[in-house]
Amino acid sequence: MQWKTENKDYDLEIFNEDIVDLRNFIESKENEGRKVRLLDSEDGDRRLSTFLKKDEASIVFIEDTWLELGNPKKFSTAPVLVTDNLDLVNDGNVTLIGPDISETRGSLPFAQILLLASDSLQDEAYTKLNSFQYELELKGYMIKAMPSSLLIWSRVSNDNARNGFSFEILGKTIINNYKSKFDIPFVEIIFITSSKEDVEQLKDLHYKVKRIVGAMTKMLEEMHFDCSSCEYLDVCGDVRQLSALRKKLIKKKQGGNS
Amino acid sequence: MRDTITIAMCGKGGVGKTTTAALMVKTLAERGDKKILAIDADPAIGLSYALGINVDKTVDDVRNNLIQKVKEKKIGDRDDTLRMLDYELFDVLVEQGKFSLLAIGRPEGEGCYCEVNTLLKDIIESLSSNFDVIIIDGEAGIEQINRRVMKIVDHLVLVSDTSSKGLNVAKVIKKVAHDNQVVDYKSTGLLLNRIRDEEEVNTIMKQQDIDLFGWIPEDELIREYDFSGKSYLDFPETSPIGKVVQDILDSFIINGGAAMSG
Repeated sequence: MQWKTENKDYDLEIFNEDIVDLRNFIESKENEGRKVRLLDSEDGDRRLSTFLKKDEASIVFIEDTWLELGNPKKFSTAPVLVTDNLDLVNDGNVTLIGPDISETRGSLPFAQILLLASDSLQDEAYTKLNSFQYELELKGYMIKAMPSSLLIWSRVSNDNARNGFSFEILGKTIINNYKSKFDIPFVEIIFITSSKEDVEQLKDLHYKVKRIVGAMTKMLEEMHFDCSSCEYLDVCGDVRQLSALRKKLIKKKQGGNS
Repeated sequence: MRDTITIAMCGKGGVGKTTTAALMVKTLAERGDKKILAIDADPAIGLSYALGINVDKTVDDVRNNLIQKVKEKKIGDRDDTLRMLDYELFDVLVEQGKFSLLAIGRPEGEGCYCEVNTLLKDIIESLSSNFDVIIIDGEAGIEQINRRVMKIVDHLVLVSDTSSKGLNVAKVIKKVAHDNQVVDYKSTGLLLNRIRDEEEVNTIMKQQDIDLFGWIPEDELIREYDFSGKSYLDFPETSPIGKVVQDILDSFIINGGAAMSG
């Protein structure tokens, strides 16, 4: 079973419009005077391994925290947008809207958006793609998340901030992880720390992705297809891929039962 | 991984478990060299109150939320569920700088949600491993011991006043914990509270088959703190009970739990 363009079962275009909207959003923020940066430096590449693997405490306590991102009392979001249109994703790009870790301290609103492009993704992979971003093994970076709600909450330790930990390092680590785990050729990441208002402007995208993740999780977990009583009926109706996935799962189930 | 020491207060209601736990937290927090987790396992969340903390969310709220999601079939796979619980439990944790507090709330509720409770225990255990010392203020009576809530406790402090009821509950807890092997502990002993003098301690201990961790004289100041609802974090260090608590903690942390001779 696959979301394959080579077989042309259907194209993976659920998020294509959202990716375009996101590009426009970034441009509008730049026009509004926000600090928008593409983070790519030799220093960042060199420092990548410095923070890998934590063999110490997994918790960064508040008194050891330099910067908190996405506290539960504030809105945060961490959507993963997948496409099979390789032109839509700028591989390796780490974009930051707002201050970097060394430039501020305290608590910031937070959005972490991952764009993934591949022409050979498995259907089942999507829910895993969504939660894999939290499987980080980084020293001095604590991450707590609710994958099904797309909520993210993290803390950067004082030591990390002193040692040059940055969104470039965080972003490149996540990109490398996706490439090695799922063999995804195009991976891009966008961080937003500029303001509560900027992060909250992503609420529509947040709820759309959340509904799709919910619908797909339910489909893959439950395997009973009483659509009339399903709370995700609206998204399945609207999103062609979900509808097709459902039909395929039904077919597979019937085949399995025969 | 830290070598965490877990100290639990058990006993009849009203014998001074919460006061002792609060003073242990205060003493360790002032020493400042250990990461401390206070677990308020009393449904009345008395320890939180004694430490001047307003609790707006408990582990029970997290459990109920998860049970609701299970009922509505709104949860993903086990990894997602674990992450969700980890996130929510960390949100329940109140970080006060020198110590953190986790309020358990009501004990495991109605219905069979063993899986939920097991996940929660796993996550609390994993969270606990980030601390050097855990102080648990237990629920009154022996129920918590029976339910195996406190499975791994290094030092089980059986708090009692001089009443035969209080001493009997302490005896029963020790018996259940020991005979039924429901708690893996290194040491267990009595902490006698509201004592008139040493002679009274000697009289009581002659009739007990339990070690003595220490005894606390009657203290008007405790009565005053309880009455006015003052935080025990402000309790004077020089009080007699403060000294007893310091000695007990030293015996647990430095000497591994050697009891006083009874």
